[in-house]
Amino acid sequence: MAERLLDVKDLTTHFFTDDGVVRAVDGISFHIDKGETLGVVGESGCGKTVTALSIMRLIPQPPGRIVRGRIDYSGRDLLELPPKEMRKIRGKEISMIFQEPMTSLNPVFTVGEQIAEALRLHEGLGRRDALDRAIEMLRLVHIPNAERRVREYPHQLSGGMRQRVMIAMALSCSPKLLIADEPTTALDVTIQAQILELLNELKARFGMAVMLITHDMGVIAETAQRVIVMYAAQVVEEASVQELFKEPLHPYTQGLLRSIPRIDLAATRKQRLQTIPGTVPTLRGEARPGCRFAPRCEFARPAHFDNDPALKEVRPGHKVACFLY
Amino acid sequence: MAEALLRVRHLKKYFPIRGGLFSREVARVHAVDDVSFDIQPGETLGLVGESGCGKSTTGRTILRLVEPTAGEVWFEDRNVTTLDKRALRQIRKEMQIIFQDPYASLNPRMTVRSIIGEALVIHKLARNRREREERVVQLLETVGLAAEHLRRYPHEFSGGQRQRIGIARALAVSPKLIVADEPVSALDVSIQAQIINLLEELQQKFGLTYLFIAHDLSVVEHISTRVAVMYLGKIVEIAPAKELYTNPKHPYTEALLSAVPIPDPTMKRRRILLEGDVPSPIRPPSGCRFHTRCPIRVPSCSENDQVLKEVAPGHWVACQVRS
Repeated sequence: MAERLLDVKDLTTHFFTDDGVVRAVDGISFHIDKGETLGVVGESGCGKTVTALSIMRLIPQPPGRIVRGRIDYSGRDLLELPPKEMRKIRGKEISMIFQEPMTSLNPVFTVGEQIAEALRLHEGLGRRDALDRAIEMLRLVHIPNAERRVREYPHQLSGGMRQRVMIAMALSCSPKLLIADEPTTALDVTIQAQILELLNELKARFGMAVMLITHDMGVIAETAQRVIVMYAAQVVEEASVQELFKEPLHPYTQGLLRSIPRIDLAATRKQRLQTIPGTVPTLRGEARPGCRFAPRCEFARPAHFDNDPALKEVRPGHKVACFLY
Repeated sequence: MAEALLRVRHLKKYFPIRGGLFSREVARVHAVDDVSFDIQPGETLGLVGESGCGKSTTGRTILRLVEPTAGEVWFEDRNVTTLDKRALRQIRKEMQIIFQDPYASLNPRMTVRSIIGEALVIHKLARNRREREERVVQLLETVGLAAEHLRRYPHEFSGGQRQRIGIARALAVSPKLIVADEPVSALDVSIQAQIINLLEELQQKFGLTYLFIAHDLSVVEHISTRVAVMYLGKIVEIAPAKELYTNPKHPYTEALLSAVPIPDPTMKRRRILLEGDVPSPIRPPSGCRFHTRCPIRVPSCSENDQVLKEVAPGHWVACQVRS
């Protein structure tokens, strides 16, 4: 039996803006086991990133606030920790990499100084030792000429290199969980392949768990063991990666999988892409009852607009929030 | 063989980099470097490559939104590269463009009515206000919007709807050729499929010809008749879509295709991982531009320039090892 690393229960994060409340994450529950890769998939604005920032306690406050829920991590609720205790976890036990490495690196410090900062803070290393470890980390993420690169500034590096530096920084204190928020979205496909390969290699080496947030079903299929699908601030399906792709249960997941052009089927068939009609609902304003996917769902019946479907386990390890099951 | 609608010959675009006391040219970005291809009427030519390979500049240079450094572009029997301003405006009625970012390419201060109607005014395509209004509504309906959207501003629409407005604007002048520059890259997958289907329907309905520029190989494969692959300003391979994807010849095309993640966890593939990054287009490598990262290079690759050679009917590749 796999050991739980992180347990998120009923997490609810709202943003209180001048134009009303934005229910960015609305009562989601999921867990991450030690050493596994959990894929989090969904379209823009579905709450993937806010979920990650909530776990890290990095929600800008105000306007944001975690209004409900708990996040259990090694016997403690992260949401109850005082800021000082949380700082010991953030960057050491749980660290995060972002989509756009240029905006998350500090342009006025060398990459070496930025990696060394975490090491001095969390591991209590001296300046010299921290810099040596920084060079070691750059080698680990396969940056050539690490001794020279460690003295360079972010703008001197290419996009792929910057993402490697981010990974080096995130892994410098050997975290137990790495949250990767669209780590390859800004990169070209050949560079994406390099970075995904690197993440897999390092994951195996350090035995850490990864929460991989992406909108790309291909990236999910090739890296995750388990997947949660998010739609309009809620989890609509959870399954092992094999099950999810073989037998998606939620009409949204089914639609999503059918709407992707498939390069691997190129030679065998060519047909019109299937689409999901309409657009994602707004998360602003009063919460309306009913399944949030119902207005776009071909199986929707009048009753589905009145009540919220609960996320329930319909097969071992396979959960879905849909009235059809 | 049918007469090509568009013929591009030895097209080059170098962007000068200026510096020093007198802003002299100190270097050049070789964005497009000797590119030639044809597009047949009614077909979709896909142009793929990674960021900075020159695919967008190629599209813009064809329309002369960017002035070419050298080379010729023939649209039917007219040489676009030598047209004066007046004639250029005339020919733009037949060649239109759709941009990647529907947020940036629609004027935020104009209503949908004026955005789409503007072209009708400029090209005098409507006799009076009423006729223009009717035509705009008709265009909106063609792209899946409605008359109720006429008085709205771009910010009131979602990304997919904005792209529909961009398409309606391009269609307003009844063009023959549309250059679609990353038209679905900024959209979510479920919306992306809607726009791809719309572009295919419009092609059927109006007999449109597309130059479809994108970095997403799966999307390009889906929509294109033929596909050209660009690397550092040059076309390295061009072939019918199915042939290119099932039988790629250039080592760069192979690597590119093998890098695309496939949404099927049961599939395990051999991935060709390229070393390093794309070199700078300011000082591109000598000889074959891909030789610095190529897994199958031989010593002479760094010396010999590569030209496209036909290896199968309609399948051209610029690689001395593979042709």
